[in-house]
Amino acid sequence: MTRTVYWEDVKEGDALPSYSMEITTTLIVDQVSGSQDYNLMHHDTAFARRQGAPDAYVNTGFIEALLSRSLTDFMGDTGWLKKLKHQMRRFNALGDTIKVAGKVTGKRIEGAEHLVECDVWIENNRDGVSVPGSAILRLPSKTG
Amino acid sequence: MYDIEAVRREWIGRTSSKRRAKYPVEHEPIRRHCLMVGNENPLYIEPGYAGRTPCPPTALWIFSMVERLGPQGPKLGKSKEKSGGKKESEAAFSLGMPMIGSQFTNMGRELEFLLPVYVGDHLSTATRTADIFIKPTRLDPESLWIVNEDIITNQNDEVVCLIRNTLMNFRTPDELKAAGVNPQ
Repeated sequence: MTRTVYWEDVKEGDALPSYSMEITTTLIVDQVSGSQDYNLMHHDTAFARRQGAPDAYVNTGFIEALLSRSLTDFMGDTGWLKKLKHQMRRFNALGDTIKVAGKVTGKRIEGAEHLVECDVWIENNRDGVSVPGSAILRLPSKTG
Repeated sequence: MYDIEAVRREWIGRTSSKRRAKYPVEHEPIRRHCLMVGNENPLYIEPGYAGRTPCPPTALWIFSMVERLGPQGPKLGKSKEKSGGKKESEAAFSLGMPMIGSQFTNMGRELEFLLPVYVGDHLSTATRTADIFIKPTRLDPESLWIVNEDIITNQNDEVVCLIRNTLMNFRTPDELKAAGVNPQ
């Protein structure tokens, strides 16, 4: 069954789906498998610490997939993620508990496109917001 | 001595040839991509749910890689000495530009998604170097920042995604010590 979210039903301030998870060794393994990024900094504790990181830390592919999960769950099956932008400001490392969250910050119509602007971010228990980001979604309109 | 002005003159604006990924978009890597963040959206992990299975937007990057990374693929951050103390990285995304250190980390990305990509599509990528500069960080007082733009196309030569990636190249503590630099 298709889940459709219409532009008219979204309002500024709406929260995006939020998820929390602990970065365990199993999650680190899943991260390498799911991103195909074998850089040692993302799975080897000793190597990461020698480079100045607190521990092995999750990579860009993981971070983007987590942000994307919240956005695509929010927009339904017929929405479109048009733009995503983020900055990697702090490490999200083995042992941290991270949370993805976001909110609608604005709505506009641009040509034929019905757009929703969002802030989306990842925070952890050590540093607070570690990855700030923003996104633009295109949603279907009830007016066609 | 790393000559940042010479590197900027030589590399900014340089664009790679278009490189076709080795593998097409496939179900199993999508499943693993979703699994790592607990994404159970049937749109992506249930074949047949929506007719053709779309690729999650942030998984496009995996299918645009010329070679899969990993033990059998390009070794990220592996460097070899060149004349004049410069290092030439073998990292796939650096286009062979001279580097300051052997280590890399992503600092941020901007992604623009233009067309849907489905299982069975086959992607290609061209990379353009947009900017290069030195900006100190706590890891290396001469961290090298590289801004690359990836243009990802499908098998019909349609642009499906644009990625602007900011990458930081830096030296290990041992490399800093060898260069006589004290980390901050």
